[in-house]
Amino acid sequence: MTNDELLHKWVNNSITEGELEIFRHRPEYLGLTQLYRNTQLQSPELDKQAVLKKILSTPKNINTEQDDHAIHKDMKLKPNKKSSLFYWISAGVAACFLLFTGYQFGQSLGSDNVVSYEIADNQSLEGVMPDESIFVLRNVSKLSYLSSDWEKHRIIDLDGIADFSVKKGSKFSVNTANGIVEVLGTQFTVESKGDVLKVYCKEGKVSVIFFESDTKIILTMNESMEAHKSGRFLISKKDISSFRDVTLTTVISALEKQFKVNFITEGIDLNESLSCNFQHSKLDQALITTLTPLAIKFEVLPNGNVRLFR
Amino acid sequence: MADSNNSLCQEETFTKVFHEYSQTLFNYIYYKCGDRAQAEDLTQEAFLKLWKNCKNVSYETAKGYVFRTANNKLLNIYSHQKVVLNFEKINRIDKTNESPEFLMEEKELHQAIMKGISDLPEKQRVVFLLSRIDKKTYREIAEIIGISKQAVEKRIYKALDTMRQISVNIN
Repeated sequence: MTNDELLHKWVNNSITEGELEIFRHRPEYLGLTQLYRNTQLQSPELDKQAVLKKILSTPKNINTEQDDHAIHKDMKLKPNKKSSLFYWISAGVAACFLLFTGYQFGQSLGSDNVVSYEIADNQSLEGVMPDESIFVLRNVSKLSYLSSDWEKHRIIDLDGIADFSVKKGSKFSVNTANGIVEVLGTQFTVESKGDVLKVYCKEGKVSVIFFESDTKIILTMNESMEAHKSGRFLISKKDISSFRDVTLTTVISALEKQFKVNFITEGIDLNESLSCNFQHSKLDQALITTLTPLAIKFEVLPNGNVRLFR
Repeated sequence: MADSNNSLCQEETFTKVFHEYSQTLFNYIYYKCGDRAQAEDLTQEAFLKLWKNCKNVSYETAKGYVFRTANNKLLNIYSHQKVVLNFEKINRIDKTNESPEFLMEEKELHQAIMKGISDLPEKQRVVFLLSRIDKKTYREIAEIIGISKQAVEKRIYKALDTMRQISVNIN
């Protein structure tokens, strides 16, 4: 039997008629259809009402205002600082271990293996994972993970923004509501807020799957991306930038930054929406690919500026 | 801090999340261990932990939280015993061919398939059932188990390759 796209399309009921015609002729087809005909089954039903009732009638461990304050004191929260992560790593990892244990005592997780953190506005929190991978949680964010078996399954849930510095080892995944970011030892930043996912890879390599699409974007050193649920995205890689459903302003800013030129755009509607890519090697080429579809002409002036006109 | 409209500490929100994921979580554990009571226990424990920790878990990450909690507990107590799964057949509406011989064959085939499913290695069994019975997409299965989509494809392929031979052997 062949392990191919057709098989999986058939399994997921997304096979087209034409494809089905081909698939029908495979020797395994008979066995598969008989199997599926004989597995029209349902699993045992969970008595939801009973279970829910038991759960809701259990008293919660609700922290009082005082407890929260005590916990935050232990965590030594700092005001939001830019690029605090990378400076801080060289400054001393020991302080961080203290931070980590301090939090656990305050939180009284008991024998639970789930470790979670949450912070409010204008704070940042640094923490260490069991394998010495480090994160900095910023602004209004929440992060949690299972600490047992950490070396084997490094999966983190994130809502908000955090910087990571990950030790080489098994796959390290950051799950957010907007997508999954996976790495194998690197430094990167993930921001998932509302309907937007932003990822910046400082060092190493990360892969990003966003909004349940089947696309995987790989980012390496100094590359970044921003994806919106609406389908809009911006991807900035070493040799090429890609855009979908952005305004002309966005593309022009990127061109200015990449080629270090200034644009003169009188008479041009900068709010026009477009999707395009441009390579980073030659300005002329980039201008042609981005502007031609909008029927905008350009002139590179002697002083290096670029004038756009219709 | 948590948006008060979406706080899991509110019964209404928690109940919504519970109804959305509890059956799938139960099925997932059941497919793994074949023990209905244990599956129900672990489902209850996972959601209870979510309820107790409701302040620290966001609405969006609740699903991941319960699945990983239950999975982790199962790793601790599960002792790789032989698994026997029982399913109810969904009643079929078409009953065109009902000779006694046909019904007997169907019954034999059904039993053989049930045994085949139970005998599958756990990794293959779980993805096959989540796909066939819960009708989850590969992406959803990958999320539930915590593996890649490609890993799901490989496991489904192996499961199907084994299972499709069962009916062929009977005939």
